[in-house]
Amino acid sequence: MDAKAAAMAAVAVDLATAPFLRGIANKRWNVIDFTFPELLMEVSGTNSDGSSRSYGFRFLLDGFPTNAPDVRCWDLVSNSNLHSDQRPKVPARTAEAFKEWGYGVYRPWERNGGTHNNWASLHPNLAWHAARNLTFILEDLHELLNAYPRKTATESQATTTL
Amino acid sequence: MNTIDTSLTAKRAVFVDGQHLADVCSVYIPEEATARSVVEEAAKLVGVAAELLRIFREDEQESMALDAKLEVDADGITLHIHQAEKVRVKVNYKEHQKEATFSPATRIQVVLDWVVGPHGFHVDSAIAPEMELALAANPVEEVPRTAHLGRYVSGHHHEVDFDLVRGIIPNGAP
Repeated sequence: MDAKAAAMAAVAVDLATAPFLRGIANKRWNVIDFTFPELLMEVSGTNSDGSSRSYGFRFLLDGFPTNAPDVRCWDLVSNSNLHSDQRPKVPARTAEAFKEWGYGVYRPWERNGGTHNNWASLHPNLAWHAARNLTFILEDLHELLNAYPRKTATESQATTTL
Repeated sequence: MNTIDTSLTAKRAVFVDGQHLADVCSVYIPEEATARSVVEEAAKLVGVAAELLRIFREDEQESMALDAKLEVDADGITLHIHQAEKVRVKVNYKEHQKEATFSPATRIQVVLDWVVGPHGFHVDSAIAPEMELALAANPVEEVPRTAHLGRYVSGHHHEVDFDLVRGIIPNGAP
């Protein structure tokens, strides 16, 4: 199997795992399109006022899973990098992760972010390695985009039983 | 003659988290199954006798009756399998501690909401969205907010300690 076929097979396995499918079932993320090596996804988020908004992401998965994915904040309509004005601005750690800096999402697991200023070495719990999967990234993106609580009946019920 | 294995075609997947599980798994049960079917299948995954396990719906504080039917359209709901009915959570923040009791099916996000809120450390609303929970015993282990508490407590251990920490910030970002 050549390198491209191996990467495609690894991605296919990843997209069929229970944690990935659960994210889709729970409407936390969704696959918009997948034409290897490009995977377009949408991740749900919560604004600081509790209202919801989703964001597009483009994953480049050549060399997956050995190579860290190149993950960009993506405008799914124009099929290009999302304009900086459209990116989340609060809280600070979310704004930093999604800022426009010429490369992908600024996180230790990202292909370019991980190599910047020893970012991955300093935070191994968030660094990419071949045993990681796409759900690991999607969980982190979803957490960053949902730093503000979106109150649900379930959460209220759980809290009041304390 | 080719035959169709109806034991497979009549099954559906439900998502299960729980003790001894590193991540969410799919468990295949008959369409009209009760909670007992999930417990029996999950027992094989977690290596604990079914009679010792409880089953919960995600975030619910009381375990389900074993004869409870599972909603057919509830495929997005994650169930939880655990020996414990309750988990005592202690959270350290600076020199202070807070304790509360949750079901093992409680998401980390719910614990975080409690501990930064008025019943917890009442963290300033400007800072609260920056906060995260880290396992006191192993701070480098990932603690996804969608994970259930019970993933970090197994067998007869019903207690877990966390540190409330500020999320990582970039180092020398342009």
